[in-house]
Amino acid sequence: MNSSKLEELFNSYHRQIYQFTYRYTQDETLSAEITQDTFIKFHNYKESFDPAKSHIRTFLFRIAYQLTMTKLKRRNKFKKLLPFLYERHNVSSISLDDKISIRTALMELPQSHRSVIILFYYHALSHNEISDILQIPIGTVKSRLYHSLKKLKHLLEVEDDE
Amino acid sequence: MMNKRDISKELREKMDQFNVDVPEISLKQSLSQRMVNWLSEPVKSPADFLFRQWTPLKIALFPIAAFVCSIPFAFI
Repeated sequence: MNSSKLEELFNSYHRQIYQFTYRYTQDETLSAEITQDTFIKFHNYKESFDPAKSHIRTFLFRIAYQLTMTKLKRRNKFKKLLPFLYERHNVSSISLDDKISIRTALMELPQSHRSVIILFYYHALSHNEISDILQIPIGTVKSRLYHSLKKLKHLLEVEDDE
Repeated sequence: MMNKRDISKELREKMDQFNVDVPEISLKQSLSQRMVNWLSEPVKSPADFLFRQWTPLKIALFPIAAFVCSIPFAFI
């Protein structure tokens, strides 16, 4: 793949990758870095991409998700080493009386559930595609989706219409 | 298989409030820019941590402890 093709690919998908990582991490700088790294990693490992097996978008999302996990793990290790430099995320600061925003509600979800709901709702990906990106069985995707929607309804005080 | 329409309207409206503006991102990585970003990241002052964790007794004992710990260096 030459640089003009890579640039074309970047122009087509970088917005989606950034939006996914931003909704997941809610950190602008980190999301921009992951977006850049996703395309560079794709360029370096393009031989492992098989168009017959998955769509290019799914492949890029998988790279972005893996990079996000790696960077967050690294950041958490750093936080453990130098805890006094980081503001502690205070969960108890959300009172039950306060109406919380969707941003806060998403961050309240476990990481594994957050990725499923973001990919499903904001990127309109199918269960199959999500399963491919996160490398988990379809049954797990369905169960995580069900539980994250239930938790979001509870956090956002949405009436259950089931 | 579940789709977006199966989610209640009220929840969809709340979820749609999370819009993301995409900044200018270039394909080229700039190590220097990353260093600048890392260095300019807001951090807490370590002094806050010390003042919160340290009682007046600990603060008073600190010079004595520092002195005792530095004694071996006098013999090097």
